[in-house]
Amino acid sequence: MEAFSKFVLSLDRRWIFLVLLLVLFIPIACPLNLPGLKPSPGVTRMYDFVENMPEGSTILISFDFDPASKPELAPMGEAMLRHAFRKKLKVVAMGLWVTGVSLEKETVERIAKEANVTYGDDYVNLGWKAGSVAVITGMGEDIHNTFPTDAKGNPVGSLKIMQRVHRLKDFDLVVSLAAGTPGIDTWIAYGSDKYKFKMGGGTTAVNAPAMSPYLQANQLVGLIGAMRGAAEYEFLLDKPGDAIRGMDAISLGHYLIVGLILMGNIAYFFTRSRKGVAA
Amino acid sequence: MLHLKRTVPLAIAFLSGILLLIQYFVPHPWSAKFLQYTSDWQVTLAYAALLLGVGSLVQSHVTKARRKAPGWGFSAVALAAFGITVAMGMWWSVHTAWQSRTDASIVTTGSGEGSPLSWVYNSLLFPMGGAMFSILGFFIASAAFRAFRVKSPEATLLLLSAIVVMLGQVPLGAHLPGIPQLSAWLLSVPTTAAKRAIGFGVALGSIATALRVIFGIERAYLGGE
Amino acid sequence: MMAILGVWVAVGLTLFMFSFLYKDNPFYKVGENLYVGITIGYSLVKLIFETWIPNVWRVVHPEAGVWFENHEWWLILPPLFLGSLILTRFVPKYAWLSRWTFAFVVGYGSGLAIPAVQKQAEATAHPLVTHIESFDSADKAATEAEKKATDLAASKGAGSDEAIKARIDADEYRERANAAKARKDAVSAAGARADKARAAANDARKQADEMAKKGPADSEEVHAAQKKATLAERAAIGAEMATWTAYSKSEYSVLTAWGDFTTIVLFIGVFSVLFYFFFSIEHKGPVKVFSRLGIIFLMIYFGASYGYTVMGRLSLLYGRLVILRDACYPSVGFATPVLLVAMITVLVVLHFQNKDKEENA
Repeated sequence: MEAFSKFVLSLDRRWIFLVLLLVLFIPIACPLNLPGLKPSPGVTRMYDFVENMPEGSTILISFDFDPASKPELAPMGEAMLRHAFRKKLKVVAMGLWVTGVSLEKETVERIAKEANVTYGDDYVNLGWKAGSVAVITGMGEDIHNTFPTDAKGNPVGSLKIMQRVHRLKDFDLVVSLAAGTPGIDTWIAYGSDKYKFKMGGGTTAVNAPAMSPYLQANQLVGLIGAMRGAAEYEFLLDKPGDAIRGMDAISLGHYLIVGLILMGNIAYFFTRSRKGVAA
Repeated sequence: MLHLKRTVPLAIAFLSGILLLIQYFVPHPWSAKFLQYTSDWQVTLAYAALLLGVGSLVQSHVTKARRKAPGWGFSAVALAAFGITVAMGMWWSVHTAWQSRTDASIVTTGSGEGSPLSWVYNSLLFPMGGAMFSILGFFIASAAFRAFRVKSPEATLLLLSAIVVMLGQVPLGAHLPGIPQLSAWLLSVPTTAAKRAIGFGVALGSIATALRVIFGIERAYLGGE
Repeated sequence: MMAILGVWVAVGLTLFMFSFLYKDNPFYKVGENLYVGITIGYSLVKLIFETWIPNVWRVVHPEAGVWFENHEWWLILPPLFLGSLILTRFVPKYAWLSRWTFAFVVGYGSGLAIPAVQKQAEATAHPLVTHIESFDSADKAATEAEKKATDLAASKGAGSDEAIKARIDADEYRERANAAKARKDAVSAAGARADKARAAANDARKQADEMAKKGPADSEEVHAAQKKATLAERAAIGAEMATWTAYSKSEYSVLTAWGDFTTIVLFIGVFSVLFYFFFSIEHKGPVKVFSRLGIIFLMIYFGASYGYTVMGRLSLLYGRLVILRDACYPSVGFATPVLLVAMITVLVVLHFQNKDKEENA
């Protein structure tokens, strides 16, 4: 036991890196299809809200993240776009993070093509503007002024959807998929609290606990948390995507980390009690 | 001169702050217009702030490269990457603008589909950004192993809460009896309470700072002298 | 061709970044600086073409803008002027001019922040304990008040002040009793809906199980039936929860008590944490106990955050590993294995070179 403790406590961390790499790579190379995904209340609330929106309602999806958070947030964006197009909602996409714009464009175009919808009539891409708080405030007053043109350079007034939405209040739902600030809290503080529109959110695992007060105070209609939340949304939508495929690897990774914590503590306990005896 | 350097900025901060505060409480078409104009100005203004940031970054790398400080070659890499990226974006826009010079909407094609910049984004920026942050995945595993020790009651609480939430997160763990409920409760009650308190503290702090700025007590933004 | 080259570059740079796990090395340094350079270059181009030109161009370019027609073209001048003032930072002698712009930006942010932040703080202060009247007691009170009003009207005359006051009171009681009745009805309606949903879910599950028993368990029909059953079960759980919620709103019950307990825990949590952070009196006696309670809440919060963070980081890592796997195939020329072997070779060579140097020194 002493030898074990000594070995564990002096282990080079690069061995742990290697083990983690292997554990994650196994399900990527050959999927295990571990069972048991259960939708959580936050995701269910979000899904139900979109599901119950009447045909033709407008939804604004803001992609507030950069490539670093793509594995967590892009699947949410894809699932929500698919859901919106399936329910024949009108989608307006945009982003507050400059390094995320191209990702947002690519995602929106791909899902739109898959759903066979028309640009301008069924969806619009506003792109990005600098200034986060000022952008939200400006949009609360007059979107056409803040975004004179869309991401493709068309004047926004020429797009059919944009002729019916002039300010944030005109949207039936605004969703921010955010990896940090500017993100959900910015949208709530400077947007929905002042201009009174329905707000939904999707966020990374790191930020999810910090967003829970908003859900509880009903400042959010629903909250998709992390890759697991995205997987749950895909499950509800009955359209498995990247998030569901990733859950195997993520689950194994979690077990490994819980195991590492336990192992470290067992070794620590043993050396401590020995030290106690020696003293 | 001192007036221009100190009194004028203090007056500007006071006026813009107080007017934006008033417009919130006075719903009137004029106050709405005022808010809209100032917000649009902020959006347009952001260009200068970014130019400032880019300028200082480039300056520091140039100095490093010129002095041949240790590791100056890496600064040269950063500068070259910056220069080539900007040149690509500019070239493509001018090129497409020339091709469609009758069209007024040419202006946003800096990184459109098929442009060199979109290739740079997909092949360089995107993988590097993803990889840089995913490295943290390895470190969080080794931190779990080395730092999470039952050394005190507080540390034990931290560890237990982490384990419950982790198990509650993954599909298989959600089938362990009691774990998903406990995990959900931890997130919706004690975690929310702590986060709200922190949020409350931040809120009080920001209101205090905002008032200090408006009334000219806080002058750090003026810089030295 | 460009696509395949793109894959090689992406894989190579990912491996450059991962090489940091071994130790800090030139590959990682190159990657890091490349990343910084490209990010700021990219942001600059985006800023120019997606914010600056569309917002300024429409004024400069008569065809693009409607502002000329509205005589609002002057609106672009203030931000242009203030923006150029920021750039005086590069000329030390006139750098002070940039203060004007900073003053405007900071003032704008402050003025906007106060009401926004105050709204956020309001959401924290929820009512603590709820009191809910049951229909029976409300109905009883209303009947009594009505009787009193009728009696008074009979004895003192319907037009007397006392009788009118009693009538108004009675109406108020009746209104409350009606509201309680509506809550009670809502419970039974929700209950009926929940029963129906549960029955439907049970049927769907039974059907799915039978199908699985009969045919091949792995067929698409069985999957579809199972999916349908799961969704029906979810709907049933939702309906049952709605019943419980309606019930908890209808009269004071165990459920409401649990809700109140939760609210009390939340309340104690918020205040003990605030106490721990903000009160600068010496922490001893009851103060110490209360602030220690705050630490407990904070520890649970940090633990939960860590637990969530693990998921976040692993997700990002997963995303990268998928890219590496996809580049393992012949269609992209085995980019991952080739580059991996090449990089390991270089690192090994570097390692031995350094070792030689150390030994010679």
